[in-house]
Amino acid sequence: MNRILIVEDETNIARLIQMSLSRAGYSCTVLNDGMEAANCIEQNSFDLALLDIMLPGLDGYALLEYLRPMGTPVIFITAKSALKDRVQGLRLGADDYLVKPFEIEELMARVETVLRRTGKGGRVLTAFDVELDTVSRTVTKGGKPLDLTPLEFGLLEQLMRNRGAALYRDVLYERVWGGEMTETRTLDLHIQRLRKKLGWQDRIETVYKVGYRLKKEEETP
Amino acid sequence: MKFAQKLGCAMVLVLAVSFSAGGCALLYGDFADRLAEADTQNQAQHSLACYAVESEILSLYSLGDAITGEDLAAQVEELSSTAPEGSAFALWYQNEMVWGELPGDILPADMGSSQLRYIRTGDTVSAVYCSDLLDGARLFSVFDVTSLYDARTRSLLRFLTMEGVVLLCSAVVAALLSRRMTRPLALLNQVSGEIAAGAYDRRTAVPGNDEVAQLSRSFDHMAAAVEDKVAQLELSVQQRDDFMGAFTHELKTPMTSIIGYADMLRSVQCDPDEQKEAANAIFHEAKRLESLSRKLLQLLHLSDEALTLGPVELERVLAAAEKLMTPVCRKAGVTLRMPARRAFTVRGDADLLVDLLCNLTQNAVKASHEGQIVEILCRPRRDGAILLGVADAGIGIPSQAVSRVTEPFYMVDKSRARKSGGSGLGLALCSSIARAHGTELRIQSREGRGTCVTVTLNSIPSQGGDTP
Repeated sequence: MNRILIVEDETNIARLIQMSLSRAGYSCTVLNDGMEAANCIEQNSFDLALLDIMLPGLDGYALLEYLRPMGTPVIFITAKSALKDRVQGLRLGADDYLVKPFEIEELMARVETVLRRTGKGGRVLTAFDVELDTVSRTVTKGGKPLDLTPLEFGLLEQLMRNRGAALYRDVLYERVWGGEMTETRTLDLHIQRLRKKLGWQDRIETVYKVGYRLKKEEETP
Repeated sequence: MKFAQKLGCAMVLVLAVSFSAGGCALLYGDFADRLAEADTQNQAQHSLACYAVESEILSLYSLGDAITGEDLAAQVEELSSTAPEGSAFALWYQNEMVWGELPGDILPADMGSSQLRYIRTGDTVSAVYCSDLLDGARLFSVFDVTSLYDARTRSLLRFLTMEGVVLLCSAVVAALLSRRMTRPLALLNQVSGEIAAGAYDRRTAVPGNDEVAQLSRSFDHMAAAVEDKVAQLELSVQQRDDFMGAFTHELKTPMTSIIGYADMLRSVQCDPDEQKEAANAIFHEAKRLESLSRKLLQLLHLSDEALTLGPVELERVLAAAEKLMTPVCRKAGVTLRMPARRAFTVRGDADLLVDLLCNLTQNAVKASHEGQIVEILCRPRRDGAILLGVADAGIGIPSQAVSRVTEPFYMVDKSRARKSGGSGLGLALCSSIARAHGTELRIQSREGRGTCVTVTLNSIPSQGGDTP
């Protein structure tokens, strides 16, 4: 489980990032103040830091100085979209730069990319004995490769990323197929096929009036 | 042709003309003097010769001899032999040349008595004097004056050489001088080019008092005016850019929350606590946006349109503000103290004054700790104007920030402002309202001690008969 430090003075945004990252299986520490963050960085180690630039206490650039010697990759999150701000951030050694307003999906993708690039994981999603490699787009079950269509792969990826949470049908469709859902049959059929291929008849639950949910480990008997 | 060249040429030309004219006048005057001198001498000699020949004629008469040309010729020959070099005589007697000859092709009959002619034959110039004597004799004296003319030619040549040298030198001097005189013009030209290219801080600063220096001063004056104007424009563009930058920044933060939470709500079925949290966040961030857009619209409205100010009864304004602000104060645990009720009437806009008081009160409440007092002030000043404002005993504003708090989107403590739903526009709006009333926002604050923000309004005598 990757440990991620979130330093953001907007509590709502900080909470949002925390909720989303926790759901995707990251362990998050949230701080709202630059000074506190600096203390925390000295006492703990993190796999990744998401830093706002304008912070009370110490700003994001200063925190970056604390993080560099520890080799912790940094993604800046800021409303400053001017090119020079981005260039400054990246030149100082930030690994990526995310401009507000951003979507959570995008944040996830950036987090994964940075973790993968810095060799701290983020490449493989695991659920039960199934492993999904987001880079080579392959799935193995108990070490044996499994043959999935791109759509099935997309569905499985979405379920694994939001483990334990029920995903709405229309959003699931929108994210995997793209565009608006016209009829529910297609999605249901693909879920059936996925269940059969993985042998996850009871692990991919149908949630009444909502959609589908991938169970967590501790829930299985 | 450059101005410096024109000036130089003009100078050289004037010099050449005046030098030549002066030189020639001098030379020819000198020559004339010498010629006159020579003429006096020659005339004397000629007269002497005439006298000699005439006395010979007279003596011949007295002897009663018949006068012959030979006699006279012998006399002239004798004269000629004693005459100085360069002079010769000729005698014309009874229409016949009896002795000597005349230079060139001049005929003895051409000349009358007591006449002088200068004859040039080849390189020689001769002065020929002619006098009629007794008995039809005519004596000519020929003097060689070539040396005078030669001297004149030599002087002329010397003068021309000298003039050439002088003109050459003066041309060099004139060129340098005119270059020097037109240098300020070149400077003006260069500087105006640079200013046109964007270097607005360039000046010419030509010293002196002449026209060019005056032009330079006017030019510098103009450049300063242009620079000021450009700086002003740049500042207003900068302010606009800053405003837009701050505004988009203020938009983006709530947007991120709203989009993020909404996306979370619509994609996964969250547990009720999370749902509640997300909905709360969306609500509050949207409220923030709403307040931001409302204040922004007001601000734009205020800066765009001229207000019509009318008589406003402050009592009503205070009552409206009290009604709106009491719940806010109660919620924050702050006591709102109202001024003593007195009827004042001011020139203004009632709604805007209520807005002003509410914004100031909200700020005061945010700055106050629980249990403290926020006071709305309304009292007449000695000069009859009305002081309206809000005072608190809260955290105050750092002194270096006081001048900036009325800038749009400026927040002393951003995260605290965010938590209390501040948009950073409140005081900017108050400041605009104050300006619309022809007055300024007066902010007195001490960090840790509290803040007092007031405006001064012009009062008008109330119709109610109450003393203002």
